[in-house]
Order: sequence, then C-alpha cells, then structure tokens
Amino acid sequence: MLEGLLQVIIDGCASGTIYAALALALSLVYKSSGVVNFAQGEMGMFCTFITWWLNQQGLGLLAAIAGGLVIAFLVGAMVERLFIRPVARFGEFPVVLTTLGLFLVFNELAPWLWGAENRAFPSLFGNGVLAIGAARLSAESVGTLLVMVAAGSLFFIVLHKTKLGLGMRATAANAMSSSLSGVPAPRMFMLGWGFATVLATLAGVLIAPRLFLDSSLMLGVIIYAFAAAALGGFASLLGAVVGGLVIGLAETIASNYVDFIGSDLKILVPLTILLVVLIFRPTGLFGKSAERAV
Amino acid sequence: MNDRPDALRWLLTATLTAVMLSGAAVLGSFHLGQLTVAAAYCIAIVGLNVVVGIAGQVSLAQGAFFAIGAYATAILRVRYDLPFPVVLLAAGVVTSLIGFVAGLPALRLRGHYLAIVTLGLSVAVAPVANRWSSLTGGGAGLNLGQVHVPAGLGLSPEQYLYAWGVLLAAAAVIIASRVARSPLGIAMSAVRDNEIAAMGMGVDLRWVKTGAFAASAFFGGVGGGVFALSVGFVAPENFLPMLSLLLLVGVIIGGSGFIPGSILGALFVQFVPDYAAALDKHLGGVFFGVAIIIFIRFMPEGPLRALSALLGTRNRLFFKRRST
Repeated sequence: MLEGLLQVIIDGCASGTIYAALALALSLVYKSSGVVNFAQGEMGMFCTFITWWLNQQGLGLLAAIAGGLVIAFLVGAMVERLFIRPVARFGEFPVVLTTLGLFLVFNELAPWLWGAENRAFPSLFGNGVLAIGAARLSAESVGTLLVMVAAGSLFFIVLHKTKLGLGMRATAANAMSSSLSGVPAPRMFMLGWGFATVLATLAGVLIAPRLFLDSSLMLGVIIYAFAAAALGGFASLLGAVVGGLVIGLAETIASNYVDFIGSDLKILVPLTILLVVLIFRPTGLFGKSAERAV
Repeated sequence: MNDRPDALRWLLTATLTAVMLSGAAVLGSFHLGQLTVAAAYCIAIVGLNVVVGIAGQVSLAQGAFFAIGAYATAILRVRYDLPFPVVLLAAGVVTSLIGFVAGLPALRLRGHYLAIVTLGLSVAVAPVANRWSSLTGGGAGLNLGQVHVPAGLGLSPEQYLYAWGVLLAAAAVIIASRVARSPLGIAMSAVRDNEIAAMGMGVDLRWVKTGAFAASAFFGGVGGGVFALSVGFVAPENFLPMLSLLLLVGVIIGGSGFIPGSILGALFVQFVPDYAAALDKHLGGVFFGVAIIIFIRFMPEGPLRALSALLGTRNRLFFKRRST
C-alpha cells in the first residue's frame, strides 16, 4: 500500500510537472500579452511533430529535441509578431479569438503535413523500472520529473538573474514605463511567446511517448494546464508550477484510489478543485486581487 | 432616442423570415437538414451573445448548455413521447435552471477565471454523458426517431422541422434584441462596461449576472433541442468542448453585442467548415482557422458592422443611435 502510494506520488508529480510546464507557458504569455493563449497546447503539439520529423530524418533524438525547441522558439515569436500584435490594439477579446483561430490552424496543419495516424514517439528514458524498496518507479516518470525540475530552475534563473529576465519582468509589470526606461517592450513580448512555446514543446516531447503522437496530443493536457494556471492565479509563475503539481497529484491519486472516478471521470477532479479554490479565492492561490477603479 | 427605424426593422425581419421559410419549398432534404442545424446554432449563438456581448461575461459553457438541451429533448421524446414544442420549452427551462447555477461563479469570478470555469463545464459534459448511461444511453447515444408532422400540413418531416427552426431562430433574435433594449438589457450593458459604476447606479449584480447566464442557457437549451430533433440522434461525441469555441466564433463573426449578427455567425459556423472540408479534410480546418484570424484582424466588430459603417447607415438601419 505504502509502496504503491510512493509510486502514485512520483507518477502524479511527473504528470504534474508536465501540466506545470504548460501552465508556466500560459502564465508567461499572460504576463507578456495579458491574454490566455488557447493555442498554446497546439503550438507545442505542432513543434513536437517537428521534433519527431527531425528524428525521422535521421537526427539523433537529443539533437532532434534541441532542434525542435529552437524551432519552437521561432514559431512562438513569429506567431506573436505576425498574428497577435496586429490585433492587440483591439483589446483582449479579439486576441483570445485569434488564439482560437490559431488553435484550429495548428490542430489541422499537423495532420495535413504528416498524416492523421498516431505515431510512436521515442522515449528519452527507455522503459526501465527503478526499484526503490518494494516501490517500482518507471524511468519515464523519474526522468520527466528531473528534466522538468532542471528546465524550471533554468527558467527561473534566466528570469531572475539575467538582464534579459529583468527586462521581461519589467515589461510584464508595466509595459509603458519599462519602454520609457529603454526596455524594448515589443521584443520582450516576442521573447515571452517564444519561451512559452519552448516550454509547451518540452511538455509535448515528454508526454508524447506515453500518449502517442497525433494532433490530439495536447487536447486532454491543456485543460489540466488551464486549471493549473487558474489555480495558481494566471500572473504568478510560481503559482503555475504549484498549480500544475497539485492538479497532477490530485488526478493521479483520485483515479487510483477512488473507484467511482476511474479513468473516464478523472478529468472532473482538477475542475472540481479549481471551482472550489476559485470560489474562496477568486484570483487563484497566488494571484493578487487588483483594485478596480470606477 | 428615435423610434422610426422600428418599422424598418420589423419589415426587414419579416422579409428575411419569409425568404428563409420559402426555402423549404425549394431546397432538398439534405440542405434543409443543414439549415435546421444552422438555425439551432443561431438560437444558441443568440443566447451566448446576450451573456458575452451584452452582459460582458466571458462564457465557454454554451456548448454544454446546447448538449443539456439536446439530451433533455432526446430523453423527453424517447421516454415520454411528448409533442415537441412542449419538449423544446421544457428543454429550455431545464437548461436555464442549470445555467442559473452555472452563473453563480460569475458573481465572484471575472475574465479568464470565469472563462476557464465555464470551459470546465463544457469539458465535463461528454464524460458525464458517457458515464451516466442509464439516463443518456452512454457512448451509444439516444435515437430520437422522426418527428410526426401534423396531418393536413402536407410537409415532409425535414420541411416541418426547418420551418420550426427558422421561426424559433427569428423569435430568439427578436426577443433577445428586445431584451437588449429593455431596462434589463441596459443594466447588463452597464455591468459589462463598468461593474462598480453599475452597482453604484443601483444595478443588482447578482440578478443581472445569473439572469444573463440563465437566459443564455435557455436559448442554448432550445438550440440544442432543435439540433437533436434535426439530427435525430444524440451522443457524447457531438458535444466536445470545441462546440463552445465554435459558438463563440459565431458570436464574434456576427458582431459581439449585435444580436441579428448571430444569423450570419450561425451560417458561418455551419457552412464554412463544411465547404472548406470538401476541399481537403485537414486543409479545410486550416482554412476555417485562417478565416477566423482574418475576420478578426480586418473586421474586429464583425463584417456586418464593418459593412454598415462603410455604407454610413450604421445608426439608421441596424443600430439605435447611441446617446452620448
């Protein structure tokens, strides 16, 4: 029982870090453009396909992933520049709708380019099993957990210890006054979208071996990521990470230990947690309630 | 405020409805079926336009209300074989009660938080319908069978349903447009534009918000009912979260806050993906996405508003003059 619990917790944390990566991507875009990017998951899926294609072309898996992440950065930055910035002046709603349009575009572009059948995506970590006492942990889960922790740390270091990160945080806090202090705000927005897409692609690459790669790769995952981001309070990056872990753990524990929930209703678990948390804290766990002027 | 355009507006509405109705005589049953589904979408989009465009509450739950209305209709038809106008009304009432409850989070949440909680409802519908098979038929769905056309009308079932669809869609547009101009509608707009100022003016936020959700759910439920009757079959895979997004696209294409635009939005949502998919299954989806992006880029208030602004008739034909 207890060994089983350890296994469930590790699996839950591994899923949680994937939700956290996507939620982090959502918060990053939210902080830079002030909108929720509904296409974020699909952009990650599309770049995961590019990674797969690079791998098929004979590139090693690690090289393919590195290439995929670079392309992801460019895709994210281009999307911001070409599609989001021109409608940003119309306000928040048109931007959200544009991301819905992008959702459809990426969702259908992938099967058009590469076919609709689902594909096996090679795993970085193999099928090994680590035995710790009586607990059997899959190398997949442990590897995912380690990669995500490393990526998350790197991300926080960039954001908090470099001039670039300072510029991004300044733009997020106040685009107008950071521009006046010489921070190139539009470029920071592009970087935000680029980094967000890198995170989403990393999540895609790590989850694809478990789910098979097709255009619906992210549809289930993105809902959890939305829930995680809202749980954390969109504008908080730390909140996104905590939200992702909470959602991942809750989902795994509930579907393993509560018979009624099983696998088909487990999607309701994060949604219920989200609803309950938001009723008591309408701006999420880490969000600040903004004062509203009349 | 001047009331002169009212006569013009009624004339336009009556003409449009008559033209649509006469389509029943000309079109084949396949196209009538498609148009009936478009009418169902139109009713649901009108409802969504009330909550999103007029009351300013972002809702991604309309697909869920559509599903609940469709299931309510199917269950009432299959189990009790009630006449279908009664069934549609009941479906609308049941859905609006659920909509009222779904509106409760709107009292505390706004913007993205509300969008995601309401999206949650859309996400939950299909798994719940799958699981609750004693009521919904589970994954196998429910078969509604054909509607009985009253003897003496001499209409085929498709023509009969189409006529109902058109009339209900027209009624939805007229009622919602009236509501938008009523004191209640003005209170909703005030909430959209500035909640705190609205509260200061004595608007009861609780009733306006939950009321807007309940009203939108009513239309969503009736629309779902028309859909179920027209398709003759309901199953969980008809009601994936994408449906809520499509309905929202319909609102924007028609012009957010502009109720008659819902007709255009519904036709867009029903036909553009179909025609695009006729070219190539996946490329069609890409085109649909690109169409949305282009519309928003170049006509953010919807093509009808762009057109009427172009013709300089903005304040005369479609819109009441805004008092400044």
